[in-house]
Amino acid sequence: MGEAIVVTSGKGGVGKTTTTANIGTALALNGFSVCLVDTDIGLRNLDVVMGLENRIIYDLVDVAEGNCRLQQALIKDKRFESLYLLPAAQTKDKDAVAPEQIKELVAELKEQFDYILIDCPAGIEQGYKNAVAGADKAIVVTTPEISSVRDADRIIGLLEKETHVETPRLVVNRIRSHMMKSGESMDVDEIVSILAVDLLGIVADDDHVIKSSNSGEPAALSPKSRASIAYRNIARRLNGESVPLMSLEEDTSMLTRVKKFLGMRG
Amino acid sequence: MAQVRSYVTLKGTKQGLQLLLDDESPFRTLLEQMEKQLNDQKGKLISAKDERLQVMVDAGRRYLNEHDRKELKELLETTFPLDVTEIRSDVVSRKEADALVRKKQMVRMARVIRSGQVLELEGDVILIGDINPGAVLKTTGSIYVLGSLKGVAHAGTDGDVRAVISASFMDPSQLRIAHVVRQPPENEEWRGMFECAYVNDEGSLELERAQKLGVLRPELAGEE
Repeated sequence: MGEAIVVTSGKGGVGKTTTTANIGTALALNGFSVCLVDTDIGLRNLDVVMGLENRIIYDLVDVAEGNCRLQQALIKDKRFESLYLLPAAQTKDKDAVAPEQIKELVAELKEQFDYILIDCPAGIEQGYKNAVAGADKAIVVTTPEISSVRDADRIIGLLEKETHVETPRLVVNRIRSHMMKSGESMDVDEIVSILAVDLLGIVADDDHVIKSSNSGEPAALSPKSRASIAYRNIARRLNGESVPLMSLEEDTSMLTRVKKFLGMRG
Repeated sequence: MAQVRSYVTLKGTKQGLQLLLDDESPFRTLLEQMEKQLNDQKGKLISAKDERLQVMVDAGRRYLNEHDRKELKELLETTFPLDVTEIRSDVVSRKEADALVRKKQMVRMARVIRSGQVLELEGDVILIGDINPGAVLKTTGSIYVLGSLKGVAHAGTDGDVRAVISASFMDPSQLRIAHVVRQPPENEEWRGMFECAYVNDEGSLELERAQKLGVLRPELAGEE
């Protein structure tokens, strides 16, 4: 029996879909069977980030309405045998399914997979309610911006009311370490002290993430990027391992170190 | 001849004239008999300066609802040259008693009040946790936060200007006590550890060290 984890944020554009794709990939990399569920009906993205858009035949709404069986709608990942995607519908809207239907669907998936990652749409309306309905755990994604932290706080407040969901854990995404160090953006400690929840991981702002989601190859696949390591660490922590937080120092390649020595910014 | 039952007793006190009403007869009978007996003593109801007399009415152990009180007051003020300052009764309804208890209670909460959450309570509140930015805590009494106050706190919502707001870390987006509102001044740090907010004699909201609270509000100081 697997567990269902909803990835949510309240605010849009903080990286829910990217986080879902990458944590899912990292879990699959560790040998778990994983199903990604896109509940952003009408604005689906997860399939694009995973590079699986062309393979969609049926979607979540089709399953909910009984047009097809669940197995027919699941898309197997290109890279991993144990990674699947249940895409959202692009043509319908969020009211096309009810929380009860998602709950049933997720319960069915839990029998097959170790982890079900549910990508939640932005906002706190119907789409959010759908996404949370079947979840056992929650990951709240925020960036080090006040507006994003405010919305994360709102979402945590709403999640606390859902008795079937454990206390959410936090991912701070898109960290620019030089801004954090200079005090221009909020720092991780400050965010954690306001939100008063456990920190699951921090992910540095990394060009590689943008590049990889444009090409449909989740960043977690590449062992070189800092973001990739961060996602892999998050996956390990989800699995109960204790992994220390990554240092926020910029990369320490020879060139950067020489530059630093000479007093130039890398 | 049996002694005439006295439905109303006039009593002069330091505070002024008191009307003690019989509390065993039915209300209708009381009103009729009271009027009759007061008419007999009309001479006593005239003040030396020819002004209307101020009276306090004590209904004893009789429960009076809003309507009864109004009727009683009207009868006294229209028929006689009296001004009713207060109608007192030893009895309150269960509902009124419950409301009274709620206003006097101390509510303890261990939680974080988050953005978008609005809590409306009665009585004094001890919050073990934070009021986050975007959150609102309102209560009829005072607010004590063992944690950070970053959102909006509104004490004395029923108009009690004696209510206070105190926090371990005071960095509010807005403070309100009764009808007095204050925002942190622009371009100025308005945050600190262990501070309390109160309404001063001029009617404006001020911040002070929490240690001063017992001086500003002696009723909170507690017994030795």
